[in-house]
Amino acid sequence: MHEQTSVRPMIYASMFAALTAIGAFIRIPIPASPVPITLQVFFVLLAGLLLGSKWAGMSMIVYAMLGIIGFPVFSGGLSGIGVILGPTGGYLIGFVPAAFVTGLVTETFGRSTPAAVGAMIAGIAAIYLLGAFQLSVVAGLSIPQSVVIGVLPFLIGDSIKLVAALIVSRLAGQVIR
Amino acid sequence: MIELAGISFSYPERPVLMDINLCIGRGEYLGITGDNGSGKTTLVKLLNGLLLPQEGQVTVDGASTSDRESLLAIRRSVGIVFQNPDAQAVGETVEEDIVFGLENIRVPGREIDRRIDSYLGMLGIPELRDRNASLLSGGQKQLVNIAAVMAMEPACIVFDEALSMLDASNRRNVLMRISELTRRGTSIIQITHNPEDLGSCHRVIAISDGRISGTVGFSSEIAMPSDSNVSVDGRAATAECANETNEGKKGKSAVVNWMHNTATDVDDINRRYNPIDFTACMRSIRPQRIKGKRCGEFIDHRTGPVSGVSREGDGIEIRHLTHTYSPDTEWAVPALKDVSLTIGRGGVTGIVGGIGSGKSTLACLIAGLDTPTSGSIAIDGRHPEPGRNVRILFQHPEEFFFERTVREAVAFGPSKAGLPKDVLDARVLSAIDEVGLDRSILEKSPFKLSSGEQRLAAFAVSIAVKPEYVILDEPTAGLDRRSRRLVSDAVRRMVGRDGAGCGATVIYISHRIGEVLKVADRIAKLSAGNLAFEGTSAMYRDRM
Amino acid sequence: MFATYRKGNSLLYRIDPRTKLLLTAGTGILVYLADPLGLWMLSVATVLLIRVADIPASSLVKGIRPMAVFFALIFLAHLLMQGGGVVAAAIPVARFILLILFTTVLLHTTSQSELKTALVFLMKPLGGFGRELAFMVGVAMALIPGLMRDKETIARAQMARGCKPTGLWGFVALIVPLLRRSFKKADELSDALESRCYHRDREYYYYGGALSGKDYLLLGGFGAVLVLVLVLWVSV
Ligand SMILES: Nc1ncnc2c1ncn2[C@@H]1O[C@H](COP(=O)(O)OP(=O)(O)OP(=O)(O)O)[C@@H](O)[C@H]1O
Ligand SMILES: Nc1ncnc2c1ncn2[C@@H]1O[C@H](COP(=O)(O)OP(=O)(O)OP(=O)(O)O)[C@@H](O)[C@H]1O
Ligand SMILES: [Mg+2]
Ligand SMILES: [Mg+2]
Repeated sequence: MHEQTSVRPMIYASMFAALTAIGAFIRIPIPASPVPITLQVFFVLLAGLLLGSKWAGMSMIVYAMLGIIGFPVFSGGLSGIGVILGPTGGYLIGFVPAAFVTGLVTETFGRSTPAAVGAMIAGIAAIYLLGAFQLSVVAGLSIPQSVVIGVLPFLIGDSIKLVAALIVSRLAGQVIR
Repeated sequence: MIELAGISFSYPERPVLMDINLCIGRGEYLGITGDNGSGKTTLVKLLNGLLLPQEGQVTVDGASTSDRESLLAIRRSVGIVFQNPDAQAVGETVEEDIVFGLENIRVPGREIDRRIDSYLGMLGIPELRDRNASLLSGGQKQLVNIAAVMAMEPACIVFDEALSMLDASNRRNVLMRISELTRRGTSIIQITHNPEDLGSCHRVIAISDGRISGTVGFSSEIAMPSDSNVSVDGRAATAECANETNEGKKGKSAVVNWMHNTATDVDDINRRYNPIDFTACMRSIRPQRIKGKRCGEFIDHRTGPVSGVSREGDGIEIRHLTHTYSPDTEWAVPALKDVSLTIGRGGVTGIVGGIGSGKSTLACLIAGLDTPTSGSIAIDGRHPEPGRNVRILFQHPEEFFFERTVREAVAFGPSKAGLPKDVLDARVLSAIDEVGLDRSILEKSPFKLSSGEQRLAAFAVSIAVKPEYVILDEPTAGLDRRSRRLVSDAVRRMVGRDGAGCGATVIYISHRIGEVLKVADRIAKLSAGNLAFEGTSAMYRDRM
Repeated sequence: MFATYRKGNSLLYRIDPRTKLLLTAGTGILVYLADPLGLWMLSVATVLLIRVADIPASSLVKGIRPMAVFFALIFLAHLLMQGGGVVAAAIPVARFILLILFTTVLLHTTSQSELKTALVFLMKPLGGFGRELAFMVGVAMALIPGLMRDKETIARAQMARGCKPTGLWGFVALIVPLLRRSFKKADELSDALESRCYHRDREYYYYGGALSGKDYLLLGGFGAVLVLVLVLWVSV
């Protein structure tokens, strides 16, 4: 009948929103790196890998809303609608398509490692794309300038997260399901 | 109103329920008991269509749970309070949590207000209304869950071990409310390991190995042959050889035995804990302890006859401990107020107190998992270092597990000590044996165990490292009688009473006074964050 | 938990949270449209609001500090690469700071529950999708404190067991148990929700009544200003 009677996927999506939110507070010190990495992007990618496009996208919309209503979910402990409208807001809005795209690629190409890597690269690209775009629009910068300020500094950290998400999704596949 | 006909259910890995036939009438008060892992929770989930049986049919008021159209109506009439108090809060605050269910069934706004007031009041927790639902104590969470389901006023309420973390007075109160409900025609299914909870049941069934192994009827409303009268608790109990049990006779004795045994248990406690016995008991332990290999170093510190503190700064010193959650905000909750307490080395110290009195908070602070707002804790003169000088077993033991199998979980701690493989394996096996689990469990995933099995496995995890100080927070909540005894045996072994252990110091937290008195030498009682009593168990028994 | 919200009783606390949320969103747009003169006016308004709401300076700084480096970069990019002098380079940064300050005023005077209720109300026009989303936001809010506590417990338990919290493996040791616990919790929670009759067409009606006349007045007035500014902006 209506397969929607089950709330399970919704709860899982909410849970990933909550996890992404606390991801801002999980700091993993990386040897040889001055700043510890935080885990929002990691959970975004993981949501995509584990939940599939629809619910991963939904979970990130929920995440953004948590930010609007004042949870300090954005990195640096920021919150509020001002952050979404501000120069870094694009990265947050980008979480939605990122999770969706990651999920979509996984759904289409399966869960093999190359497919997962591809999916996550596509996801990160979506974040950068929107992030740099909004930065350039609201800060009145040119696209190359935004890329220098808003993309390059994060590339290394994000590749680490990609690897981490890959490993964890493998492990999670074994122990959770 | 609920009918289970020829139900069989299996999880992909294993069959759980076999050929269950059961009928629950309107206004009936049914008790269900059964060992951990016997399938009680699974049975409950079948009642409102969370799980569907592979064979047979569950009907509620004539509607089958496999019929999706009637599922909502079924869930409307069968309310369930689940076993894990942690994972049922839907709302941010207690109030929102209750509102959630009421909005689902379209109770008008004004009526919602009335019900929140009346059910929170009824359970004695009106002050929790605006508290964050996920930051309550274990018992408080259970009361909130009960209130949330009761407020929906379903025709049948299932309590799946929902009283396991309540203290005596709250338990009595909830049971009284339940009896009131049955008088007004609500059916009740009460699942419990605690025979006192079943005092006013009309009928009690026992489940074992996925079958109904016995039925006892207590009510005159249920027809009973007069020749099979047995007296339990001074009440005339009748074993009812209903045709739903294929082993009626054997089943009858199973349930009655179970109840009788528990009754003698209480006598047991009384006999064992008179003051003279207590000292004698302690004396008899000492020589054995010296025999134990790993105890030599340990016993040197001990000169006093009863769990004495010999050296300055030996044992746990708690000085003017005050702890407030979220201080300086409007949600500040004072959990401990100026508690000073000394816990000597060796022996078992019981910490008792009502729900929300600060027991778990104290445990976390001693274990070094939290920093007190003010005051100090010293363990053998040092700061508490979790894992180094103290270990804690949580109220919700699944917090421990992250390994793939029970074996990995139990082996994790000792493996850090760099033991050779054969010693390690022996440790793991002995820990599992000590808690009385079957060795086959070693290869299972800890997350696939029933809650009782999980509790015991978590217990094995913490005794595998042979710790010096162990804190056990409600180690027996939700366990069946056999496992409870195994736990207390393991505790005695740990402190060296049975000779094999290594003389650890155990802090045993529980709201079941009787059970604490059974294992503890000393008792500390908390009341609303204050230390209300401190002394030996014998003194406690005299005083209270 | 984590909230900037502090209880108070000034005028700002008594405005309906829905109105406040809409006003802040509107101001967010205004901030970008305003010319230097407009920015001054907004700044004065902000200072007034901060005084009325009695927000301590530390809260304000806390909102801006994490972004400071980023703002400096933007400032430099404008200064060095686009020319136009210090003032021109400072304007975009000023916009962002105003934006954050407005948000701080909102979050300081409105609790998360109030904002959630406001969000639920504002999503009503979206129909079933909006309800579902609102419900999920509520569940996520309810899950956060517990997850936060889980995370802390696991981190300490792992350290106690000899796992260093650094590097990839420290991370895996934290994240795998956290995920497993979370999934189990999600499973049990959905059982509990379904047992309490969750269905997709559920309505929120207990919290939040209709907006009052005062709110409509405020919103209307602000809307008019916004439209005016928009028209001016388009015509320029
Ligand atoms: N989701 C699951 N997948 C696979 N097996 C399960 C699952 N849940 C429970 N089991 C197994 O089914 C059996 C019955 O579990 P159930 O939770 O119904 O027991 P119980 O009688 O409620 O025990 P307890 O008194 O400990 O709560 C257990 O042996 C358990 O290992
Ligand atoms: N993380 C937390 N944040 C805020 N308040 C808390 C938190 N944990 C516990 N409390 C509150 O502190 C008080 C003491 O709680 P604690 O868990 O120590 O009680 P307890 O004696 O263990 O009760 P129980 O027998 O129900 O487990 C309670 O009022 C509880 O609601
Ligand atoms: Mg159970
Ligand atoms: Mg407790």
